[in-house]
Amino acid sequence: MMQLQAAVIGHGRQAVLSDLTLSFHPGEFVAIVGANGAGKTTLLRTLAGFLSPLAGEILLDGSPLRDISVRSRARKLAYVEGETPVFGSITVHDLVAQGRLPSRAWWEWSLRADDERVIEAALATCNLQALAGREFALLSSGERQRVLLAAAFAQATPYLLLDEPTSRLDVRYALEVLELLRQTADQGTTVITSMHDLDRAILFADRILVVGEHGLLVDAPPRQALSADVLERAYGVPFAIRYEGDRIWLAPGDTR
Amino acid sequence: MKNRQSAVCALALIGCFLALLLGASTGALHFSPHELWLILTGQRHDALARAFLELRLPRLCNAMLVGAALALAGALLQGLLRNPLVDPYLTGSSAGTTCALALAVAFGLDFAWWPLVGFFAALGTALVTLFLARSGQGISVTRFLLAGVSLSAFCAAVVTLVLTVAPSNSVQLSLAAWVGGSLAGRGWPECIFAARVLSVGAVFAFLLAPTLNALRLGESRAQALGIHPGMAQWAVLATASCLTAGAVSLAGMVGFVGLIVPHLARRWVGSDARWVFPVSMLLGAALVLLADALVRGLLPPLELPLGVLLAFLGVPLFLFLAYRERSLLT
Repeated sequence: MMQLQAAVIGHGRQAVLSDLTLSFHPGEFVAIVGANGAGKTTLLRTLAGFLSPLAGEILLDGSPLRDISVRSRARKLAYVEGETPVFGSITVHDLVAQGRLPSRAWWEWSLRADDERVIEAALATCNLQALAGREFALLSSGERQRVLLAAAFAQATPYLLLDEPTSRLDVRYALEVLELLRQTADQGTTVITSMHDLDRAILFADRILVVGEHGLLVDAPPRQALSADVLERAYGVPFAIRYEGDRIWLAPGDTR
Repeated sequence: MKNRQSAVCALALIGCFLALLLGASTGALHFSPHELWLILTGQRHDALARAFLELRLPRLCNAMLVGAALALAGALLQGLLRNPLVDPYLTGSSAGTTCALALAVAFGLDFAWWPLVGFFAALGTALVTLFLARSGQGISVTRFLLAGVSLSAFCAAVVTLVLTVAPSNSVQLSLAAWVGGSLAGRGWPECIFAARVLSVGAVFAFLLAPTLNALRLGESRAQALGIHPGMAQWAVLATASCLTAGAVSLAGMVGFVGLIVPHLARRWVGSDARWVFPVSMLLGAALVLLADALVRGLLPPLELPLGVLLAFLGVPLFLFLAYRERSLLT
C-alpha cells in the first residue's frame, strides 16, 4: 500500500498541493483529474520518487519512500510519462527490454530466458509483436505510447504510475489502453494515472482524485467525485451532469 | 540486428588491423610485410629491427590508445548529453593542458615532465568544469557546456599571453607542436601510462553501458528504471575526463576523433552502448593509426601535425554527414 501522510508537494520551495493524506491500495485504479498546471504531474512524479515532498511523508509498503534506493524503487514502481524524445536508434523490442533493467544485476548484460518471456508477454499485451523489430522513433505517437506502456509492463511492478497515457491515442486505442489498465488493476497492480478525459475516468477508475488550484478538492468514487460543483471549482467553467444508467454525461461550458 | 552489429565489429577489427599494417610499414623507414614478420617473430635482430621495436611499434601502440581513448570519451559524453555534436574537448581538458604547458614552458620545465603535467592539467580543468556545472545532486548540461566553453576561452587567452611575451621562438615552436598534436618521440613509458588510463577508463565505460542505454530516453525514464541520474552523470563525466586527459597528455590536441567516430559507430550499430563502445574504440584506433601513417608518409622526412591532418580529414567528413542527415543540425 502507498500512503501520503500530510504531504506537501511542489517544486523547489513552491508548494503545489498541500496537506495530502491519501492511500492507494493493491488492485485499485485511481484517476487524477484537474486543470492544466493543477499539480497532476507533480503528484505523480512525487509518488514515483523523482521529487521529494516538501513536508509530510510518503510510505511505500510501510517504508518511507525517501529511504528506498532508486533501484529498489524501480522494482516496485513503474512510471510512464508522455513525450519521450529518444537519442539514437532503438528498436521496439530493445526499448521494452529496458523494462527488465531494474531486475538484473549490474554484471548481467544479456537478457535471461525469463526476461525474454516477460518482454514477449508485454509486447503481446500491448499488441506490439508485429512492431517488435521496428525503429521506435519512426512510429506514430500512439504506437510510441503503447511501446512505453509495454516497457512499464515488462518492469512487472506492483505499482504503475502513468502521466496522461491516452493523450495521444485515438478513441479505439485509448479505450484499449484503459481496458488494459483496468485488467492490470484487477490482477492486483495499483494503477495511478492522470487523465483529462473525465468520461473515461468515470468508466474505468475505482476512485477519482480531483485537484484544483487550492489543492485536492475531492477523493471519492467516480459518481461522488465528479459533481457539478467540484468540476466548476477544478476547471473554472460550469458543468451540466446527466446520469443515464451506468453512464454519466458531462457537458462543460455554458449550461443554460 | 545482432548479426549486423557483430559484422560491423568484425569489420572494424579488420580495418584496425589493416591500419596497423599500413602504419607499421609507412614512414621514413619502410618495412615490407615480410620484414615485419621477421622482426615480430624474432628472426631479425639488426638496427632496422631495433628501430622498429623501439620507435615505430610504441608509436603505433600510442596511436591506437589515443584513438580508442578519445573515441570512447566521445561516445560516453554524446550518450550522456544525448547530443551527437558533443566533443570530449568540451570538458575544457585540451585547453587546460595547453595552458598548463604554456606556463610550464614559460617557467622552463623540462619536456620529460610534459605528459604528466598535461594529464593532471586536463583532469584538473575537467574537474573544475564539472564543479562549476553541478546542480543539485547532478550536473546541468547547459552549465556544463557554458563552463567548458568559458574555461577553454580563458585558457586560450593565457596561452596567447604566454606566446606574446615568450622569451624565445623555441617556446612558441614547442607549444605549436603540442597544439598541432603529434605522436613523435612517444615511447614505451608513455604507452604503458596511456594503456593503464585506457584500461581503467574502458572498464568503467563498459560498466556504465546499461546506464547510458537507459539515458537514451531521458533522465526521467532512466530514473524510473533505477538509475540515479546524478551519480550516473558524475561517473560518466569523470570517466570521459580521465580518458581525454590520458589522450591529451600523450598526443596533444588531436581533434575530431571523439566527435566523428562515435557518430559513425551509432549509424552502423545503433545506439546500444554495449556495441557503440567497442566499435568506437576500434574505429578511433584505426583512424588515428591511419592519420599518423599519413602524417609520416605524405612529405617525408617532414611530419605534418597530427591534429591538423585529422581536421583536414575530419571536417569535410563531418560536414558531409551532418548535411546528409539534416536532423543532426536541428
